[in-house]
Amino acid sequence: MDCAGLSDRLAAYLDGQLGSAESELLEAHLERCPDCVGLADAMSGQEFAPLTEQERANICGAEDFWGAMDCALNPALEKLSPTCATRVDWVHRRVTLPLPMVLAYAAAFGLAVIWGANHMVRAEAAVESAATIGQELEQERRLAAEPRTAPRPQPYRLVNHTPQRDTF
Amino acid sequence: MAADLKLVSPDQASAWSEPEIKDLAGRNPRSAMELVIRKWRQSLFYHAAYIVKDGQEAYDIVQEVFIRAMREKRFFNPDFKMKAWLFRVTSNLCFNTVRNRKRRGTLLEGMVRPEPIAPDQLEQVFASERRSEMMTAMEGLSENHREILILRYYDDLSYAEIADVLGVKLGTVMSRLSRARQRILDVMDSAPAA
Repeated sequence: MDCAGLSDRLAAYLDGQLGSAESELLEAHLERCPDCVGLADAMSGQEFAPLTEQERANICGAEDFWGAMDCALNPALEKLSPTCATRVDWVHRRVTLPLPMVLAYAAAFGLAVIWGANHMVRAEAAVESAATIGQELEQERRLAAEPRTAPRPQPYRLVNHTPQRDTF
Repeated sequence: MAADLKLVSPDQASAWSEPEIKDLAGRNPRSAMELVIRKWRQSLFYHAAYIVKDGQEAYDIVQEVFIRAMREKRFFNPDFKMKAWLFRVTSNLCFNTVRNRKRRGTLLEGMVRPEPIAPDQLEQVFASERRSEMMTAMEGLSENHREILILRYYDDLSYAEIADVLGVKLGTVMSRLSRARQRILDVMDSAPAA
């Protein structure tokens, strides 16, 4: 391990987070490099001094410290409630539509009614005409099936009224 | 099911693991989210406070983080890392706040701010003699270096958890942490001269 490699791993070594193999390499380098020993000493002397549990408790443990956050988050939490999610207010839901949309729906409904009535009249006429045609066809079929009773007309007798030449 | 957020004590919440909370979310998402809030809000509050150095802003940021968590559809997915996501979003919001504050710092100086929640205690704690030097030195670091130092030495996250929060490999966490600590040394060495 060289100086650059050591400086990359020194914090992890001081935190005890380095693997045993890398730690041995780092320690071997420290034995022969006084500059890196100086750096390691300086870094190990750093004191970050995080808040103690007591200090944390003094700040966040105050009465109703989280009250404002609870109040702010509760409405959003309500929406996550499974009972609330299934109990959608279909009954109390207000549906508002703009006037042009209402007029458009009404016009479309009126046109649909007129179109339907028109088609109903045409359908009735078609049924009536089909019934009439059926009657006529039935009559023709009946006539065709009956034997002819009308007498045959007498054949005409050809009479030559042309004067003969010899008769003059 | 807990009817109110106050009914879930922090001790109860901290006993729940992420898989257990996700399992509960399948049956009762509200209670699961209550546990999430109870379990992590104090840690997130201090994480935010270390970055923004303001109790009220940290409080508001944590609240915003949980609102975003409730909107996040993948939050209770089996492969979703809840803790890493919460810390990542908190960090992003905090650094956005700090950037905005710097950008319009002079503008806000004369404005009346809302009553802070715990400013005295926070300022007092941060300004204590044994901390003030380090906190001041960290001001001179880049956002990446500040964030990784806070995650490790103030929020006490493991290297693996930091890797999840930052979305980097374990080796990157080690090297970035080392460079951040070396940078702190440089800043502290140059501070008296300045």
